[in-house]
Amino acid sequence: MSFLPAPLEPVRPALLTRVAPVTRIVVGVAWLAVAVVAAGPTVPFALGVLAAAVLVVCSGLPIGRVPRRLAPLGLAALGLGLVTVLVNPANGDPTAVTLMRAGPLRVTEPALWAGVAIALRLVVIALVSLLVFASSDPTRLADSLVQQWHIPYRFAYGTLAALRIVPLLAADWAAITTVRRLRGIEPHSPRDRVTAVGGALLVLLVTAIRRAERMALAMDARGFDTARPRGTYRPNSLTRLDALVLVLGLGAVVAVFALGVR
Amino acid sequence: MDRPARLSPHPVLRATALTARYPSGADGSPRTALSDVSFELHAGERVALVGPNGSGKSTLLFVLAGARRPDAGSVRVGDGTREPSTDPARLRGRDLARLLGLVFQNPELGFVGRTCAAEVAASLPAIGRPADPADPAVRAALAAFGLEALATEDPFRISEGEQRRLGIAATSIARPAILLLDEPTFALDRRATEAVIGLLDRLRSDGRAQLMATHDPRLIPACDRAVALDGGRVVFEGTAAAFLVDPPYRPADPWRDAAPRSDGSATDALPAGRGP
Repeated sequence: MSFLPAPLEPVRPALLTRVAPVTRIVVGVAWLAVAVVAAGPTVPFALGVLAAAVLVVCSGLPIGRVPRRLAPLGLAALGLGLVTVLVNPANGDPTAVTLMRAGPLRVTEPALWAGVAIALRLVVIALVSLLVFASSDPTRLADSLVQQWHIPYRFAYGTLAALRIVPLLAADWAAITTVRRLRGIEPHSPRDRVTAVGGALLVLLVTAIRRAERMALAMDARGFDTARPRGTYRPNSLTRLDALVLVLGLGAVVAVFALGVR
Repeated sequence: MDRPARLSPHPVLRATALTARYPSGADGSPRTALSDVSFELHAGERVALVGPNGSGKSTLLFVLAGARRPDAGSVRVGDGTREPSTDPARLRGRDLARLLGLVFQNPELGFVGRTCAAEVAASLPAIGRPADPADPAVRAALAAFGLEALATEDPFRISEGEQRRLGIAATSIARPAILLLDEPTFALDRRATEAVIGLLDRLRSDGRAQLMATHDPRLIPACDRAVALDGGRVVFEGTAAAFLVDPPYRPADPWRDAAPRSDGSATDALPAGRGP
């Protein structure tokens, strides 16, 4: 049984799901680097629009569920932008253009643009991360990292196995707190509460370690680490589509950067 | 086994049209775990909750315990002297512990004590006594479940079967009016199973109700009634004997669990040639 919302993943075949995860990582990192480095709001704005277009047109993700999933990040972007606008050294610059004045508060044009730029950067980070990671399942990501970038398979698949356990931990936590509640074991003072949470965490840790032990044994029993050359069960090769995405993705970011900085 | 005369016309637990969904479809569409589930549990009654894996048994126990709110329908519990009217989700602390007990399939998740004796003693405050591991009731409970030699052992370091018995001992010492058990005889050998059934018999003799999710063909005959779920719906409600003679679902797909055969023999049908 699961208490977590379903993960955001592609619900229909789409162009982006056929692109190798490593290709998406390269393009994604380039976009993020440019969005963060470029001064002013123009570049993050252009990249944000592009990323949103890609998300809608060729990610295969259920668009209707994206806003809700990104809502916390949207709020963070808004808050960060607002703080940057209000608490900004440019507001004290007598030569800057004043946009608004309310009592001791003065908002200048450069401060406003700085705030907008910060908020847009966060939006780009959220959208690009979604495009890079949510549009392929973790197994494919691990396969791709091992096959194309030769990341040690022990690390890649070990991490993958650990990821799979996270939802189970959430279910365990729900069970632990339920049993305690039903047994009438309820903390009264704040100190009791801290002790109780510590105790519950310990139980969670014990069950997690037990599960990890069983999983490690099962993986070894299937010859996970036989110190022999490994074959490939799910071949994952780069195609012409990857080359195309790489050229278009990097080309787009270079163009945006060149136009935005000018 | 004969159905004992009911002590009161009022049930201790009434579930009405329960529906529960999980948001776990790949497209985020909810998956229905329980659909229009209604039944009653009377004082002194032992009911087997049966059904294939994934049929909603554990979810139902969660909902009955007030740990998960149903998306529709209601659960009401009471003392059996009048119509049940209390929502278990609204109860807290001692009141809740005296009314409802739940033992999970993995009893470790409920452990709070450093020793087995402390584990059992942790339930004593529910009946208004200090959590003293030296309390004679603790020793009696441990002895009843054959755990007296493990009194000073760490609950996390004893065997799985011992943990299960400890979980039942710790929950039953608070003498809840309704005891919910998830697979109480899983991983228990025959002797321990018989011991657990004997203990549950004793707990029931003073009018306490028991509802147990189980696949164990040894346990079902020891129940008065059976409620069978399939796909989140109640597909059978009747005497345990009637259930064993003619189970309402068949293991069409051998991996979809198995109903006990009519002779009460092994539950799990493995496909030919795939045995151990």
